[in-house]
Amino acid sequence: MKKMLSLVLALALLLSVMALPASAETVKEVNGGEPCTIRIAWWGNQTRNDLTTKVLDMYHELHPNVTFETEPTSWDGYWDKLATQAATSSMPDIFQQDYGKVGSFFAQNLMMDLTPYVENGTIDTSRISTAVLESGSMDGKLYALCLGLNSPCLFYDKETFAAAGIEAPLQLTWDQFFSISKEIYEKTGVQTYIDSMVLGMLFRGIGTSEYAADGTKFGVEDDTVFKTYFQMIADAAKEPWHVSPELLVEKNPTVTETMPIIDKTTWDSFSNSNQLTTISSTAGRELGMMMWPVMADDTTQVQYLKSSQFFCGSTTTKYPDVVADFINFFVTSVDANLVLKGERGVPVDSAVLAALSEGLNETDQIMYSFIDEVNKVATPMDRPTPNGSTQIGTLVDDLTEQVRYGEISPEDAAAQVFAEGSEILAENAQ
Amino acid sequence: MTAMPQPRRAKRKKPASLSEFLCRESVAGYMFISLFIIGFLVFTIIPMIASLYLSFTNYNILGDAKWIGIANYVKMFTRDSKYLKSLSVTFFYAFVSVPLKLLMALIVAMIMTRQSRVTGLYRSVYYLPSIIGGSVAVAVMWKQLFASDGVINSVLQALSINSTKSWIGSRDSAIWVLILLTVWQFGSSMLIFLAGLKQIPKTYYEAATMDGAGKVRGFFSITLPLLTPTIFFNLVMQTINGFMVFNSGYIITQGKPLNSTLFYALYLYQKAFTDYDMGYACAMAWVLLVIIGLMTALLFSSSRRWVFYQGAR
Repeated sequence: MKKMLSLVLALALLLSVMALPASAETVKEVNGGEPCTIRIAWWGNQTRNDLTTKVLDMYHELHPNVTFETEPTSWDGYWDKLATQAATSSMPDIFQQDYGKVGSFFAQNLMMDLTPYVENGTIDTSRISTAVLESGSMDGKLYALCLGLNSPCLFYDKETFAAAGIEAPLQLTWDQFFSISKEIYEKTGVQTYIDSMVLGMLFRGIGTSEYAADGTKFGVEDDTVFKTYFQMIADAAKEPWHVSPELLVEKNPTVTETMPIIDKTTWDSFSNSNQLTTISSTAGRELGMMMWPVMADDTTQVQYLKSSQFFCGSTTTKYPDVVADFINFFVTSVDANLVLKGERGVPVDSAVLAALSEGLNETDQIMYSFIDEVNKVATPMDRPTPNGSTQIGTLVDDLTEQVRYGEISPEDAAAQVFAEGSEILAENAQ
Repeated sequence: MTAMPQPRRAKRKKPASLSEFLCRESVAGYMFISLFIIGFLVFTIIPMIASLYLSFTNYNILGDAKWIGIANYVKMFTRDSKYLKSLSVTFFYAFVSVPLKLLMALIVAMIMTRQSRVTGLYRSVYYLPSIIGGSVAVAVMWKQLFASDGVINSVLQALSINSTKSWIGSRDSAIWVLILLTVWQFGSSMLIFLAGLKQIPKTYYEAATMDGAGKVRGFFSITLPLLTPTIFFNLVMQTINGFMVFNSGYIITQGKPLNSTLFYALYLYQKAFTDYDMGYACAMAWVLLVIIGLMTALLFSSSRRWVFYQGAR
């Protein structure tokens, strides 16, 4: 009898032990279950802040020992803040990263190497394309994991096009752009805005890039492309359908809330595809997406797919395991991304992309189908911009304003950019 | 023979204990001000010295500071046209807005010396802009007022003046919008003038009236001379503030159109936080310090000629 009882008990024990692995599958503990606080910083807007906070709460529910301290800012203030934190060694544990800045942050050894975590399986990159991984890697090691893909695009106001009775094609030539702008203005009174960022596209259209590979000079031998750009600006400025430079001071195009497209001053806005949700909701109406215009005699397609932003860990973090685990969660978890809805760009993990493509709302469908179209024709993106590119960008903006006000001729402006810009870039050779 | 008793200095006994030491008056004094001294050292003096050092370097925060001597200062005055433009804009702004502001303050203060039931109310109403005027909210509102579809144009339309001009977008009027914003904040200067006016003895006016002087003569011969200390004070304070203007430029126009509102402090900010050229920005900051110091010194040395202090000097 005793033997029977002990046998039954042993069997019961064995069965209950075998049942355990099923529940252990749910959540792996991080940081050994010890409470920890993770500081996380990102740039964006209110929509992004809300969505990201929801995902942080989701992670907290899975790992109650991890609490987050969030440091969201707008794009303008983000880099100042991060630079100050870098200088005082008080970087946040996780921070959002931009393609153009990976190089300089890598040079200052500010980002944590994620490769060991990929190798041990904490970060699952099996469903992410190599090209995307490479965009966040330096010297063959992964430092920043891409959060989403986007592409430059031209937003247009569907209502205006409907009112003017014009069909919006997927990609215009610049001649068509000018004639459509004129037609829209004559029929509806809505104006147009040509942003200074189109300069970069003019270089891509002729198969080259604005900056040379080593960053010590421009990617072109003379200022012809600059002349084309400034001439375009000058021609548009003379036309009544282009928004006046005075109005551009009032309606700052670099801030979402004051962009001229928001209150229908203009029908267009040159931007990036992941901004669709934000700009549409600020404008309170649906916007369509077009590819950027090309010159009629362009040799290369100007559109490209870009890793819009990344998350990276700081080298000074006390909890690298938690950081790696969170970044993996953020990028590969279907539940998390159903909340994020691709606000930072089209998801890079193919399983997440498949899951998201099912339940899209109208706005997101527009964005995803646009990325689909771009994917068919996209050419590789440019290298990250070299040191001094910000200064050259400011110079181009200043000269664009002067050309718009008629203070300087397009030829002089082009010559000035080429001369001064080359000087600034030449300093990189030292 | 008794020698004159020498006045003996009270010999200091060595303090017997720490608490005796702490009870000495001088020590207590030092302890009370130590809090301020430490704060002043850490948050003002040390950063100033660091900034002076950085002004001779090439520093972009993400890297190390590289010593380049006076290259920043040379570049400022020889190769940077935007810098010279910002200097001229700031000088213009200071030399126009300060006299206008003080004039408004004086006129309104003169009107308010007339005692009536509502002066108290008006005093508060005029003082309010100077407290809230420097804020972001007011600057944003000011931008709206002067936009091409803003309130000012609506009012002009109502008065049958067809105006759709963008006041902040055209290069000739943008700076005047900003000057108007600071002149609107004359309230604090006005209060100081009021206090100064009250200090002038009424007997002078009575004596003048008896000699047959009118109100105007009374103003120019009595009020103005006796008010010069107050005018001098306001002039110095407002000039210093005028050169440091930043908020309105940053929020309303961002230095546009065509750099006509590119204030010195605004350009400094752009250099520091957009171009990450910290060394250059530090150099600019020190040049501004020297400029303001020179202006103040000029004002002080000229004050001997025109400021009349009632008491003995």
